[in-house]
Amino acid sequence: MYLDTLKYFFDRTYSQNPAFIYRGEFEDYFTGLILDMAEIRNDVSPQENALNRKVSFMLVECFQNILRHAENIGQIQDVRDDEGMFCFKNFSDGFVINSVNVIKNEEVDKLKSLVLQVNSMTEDDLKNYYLERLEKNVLSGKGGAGLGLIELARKSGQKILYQIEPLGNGFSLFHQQVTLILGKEGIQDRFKDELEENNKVYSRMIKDGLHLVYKGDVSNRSLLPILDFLRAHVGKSSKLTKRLSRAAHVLIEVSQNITKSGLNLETGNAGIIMLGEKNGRTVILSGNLIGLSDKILLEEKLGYLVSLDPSELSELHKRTLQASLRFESKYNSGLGLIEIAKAGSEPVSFDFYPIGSDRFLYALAVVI
Amino acid sequence: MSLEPLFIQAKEDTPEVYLSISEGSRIRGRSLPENAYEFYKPILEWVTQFSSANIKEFTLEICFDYFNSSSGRYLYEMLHRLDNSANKNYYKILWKYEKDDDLMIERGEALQSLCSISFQFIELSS
Repeated sequence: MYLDTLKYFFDRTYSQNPAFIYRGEFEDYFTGLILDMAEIRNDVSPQENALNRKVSFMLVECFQNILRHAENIGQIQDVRDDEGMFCFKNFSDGFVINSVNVIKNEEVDKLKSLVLQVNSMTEDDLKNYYLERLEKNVLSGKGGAGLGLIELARKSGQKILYQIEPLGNGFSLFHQQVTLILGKEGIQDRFKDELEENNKVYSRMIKDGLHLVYKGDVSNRSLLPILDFLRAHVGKSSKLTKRLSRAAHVLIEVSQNITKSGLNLETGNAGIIMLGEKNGRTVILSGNLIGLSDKILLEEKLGYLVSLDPSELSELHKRTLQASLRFESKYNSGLGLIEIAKAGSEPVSFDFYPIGSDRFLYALAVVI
Repeated sequence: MSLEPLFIQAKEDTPEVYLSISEGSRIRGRSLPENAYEFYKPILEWVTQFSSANIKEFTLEICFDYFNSSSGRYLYEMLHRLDNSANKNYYKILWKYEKDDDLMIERGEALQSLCSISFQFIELSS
């Protein structure tokens, strides 16, 4: 089941680098982690720096908007306590930010009319409207007065897309999409389907208990913020050092496995890493593209590892560690996979999905 | 003996290292270098020189938040070099771990089982 989920997200993020999705409780300090994730690209040119600043501003604004509404979550009965999602996707021709947050029904009409108003304005109108609102200092109870939304519209140059989904008990989900289109001003509809797509992704995240999806270049630059997310999540929900330690170890190993062996999608070592929680267990999924010879080797290696019981795995680990002193290669002792298999609470599952004529998506799922 | 202490400052993915023939030797923090060989090379070189010296007392504190499998491989090599010393009976490893971190204990025990150097397991107070 988990491997199909991984394939689903791999397909949906194939042309995006990076793509990042987070569902769950929102903390203020995640803002910095999200900016770290967004900046993981190898090929940033000087002219892109200005663009990156714009993207960073939009990311922060969208994320802070979720934080402003976070208090609503605690007031909903019969709804999960982690309702809400934040997502960004970097395409070759644009950047899309989706957010999902809980709002009170009494705020719906006001929000709708503000979005409609902002969407109908020209660049100059937006500037004047922003200054007007700022001058009047019309601050709402949460300090925004819609200024963030106006700023987003100004920076984006595109219409803000939204959907309202009733939740019951006096609350609704507000789905929002902000886009930035590169070099093709005026193409308003380029990413309009992404809003609907994001709704499907959100439902799938909830159904499969997923909290984080990262697709992009995999290195320690991406690993360290994901480790922080893992610590915030597992640490908070379970307070189980035991599970966190094992989950962190698996995350480190799968990530570095991708760094070492993944074939580049475009640039860098592209792969996908996902974290979830289901039935009181932590699930870590990883995927990356490999060639046929690696597929044959891994199939054999993993087939052998899943046939071993925990004491046999420990014995194999010791023997491999001893043998590693004699290995010529300083980089590939084979210990990583054994340690992944050892850390799981059940045998790892894996599959290889053909991608094109000569590559495979190597998908691995570890339950802790 | 004039073996200079080795100090490596911690980074976000590598631990603080201090190795000295006198006291306070420690490896602390996260060890997740993408190239563990490069990181552990000076440590292995120091240990090789140290283990041939006539030092009758040496305690090394090892306290990791996390360490990757490649770091584990080089920790083992470090212990193996210490284990080959004529003075190995005077060496001691203090393996520190967070309460309930059974994986860290397990990984320490695995290294202990592969050498004859004395290990002491110490739970960190929270």
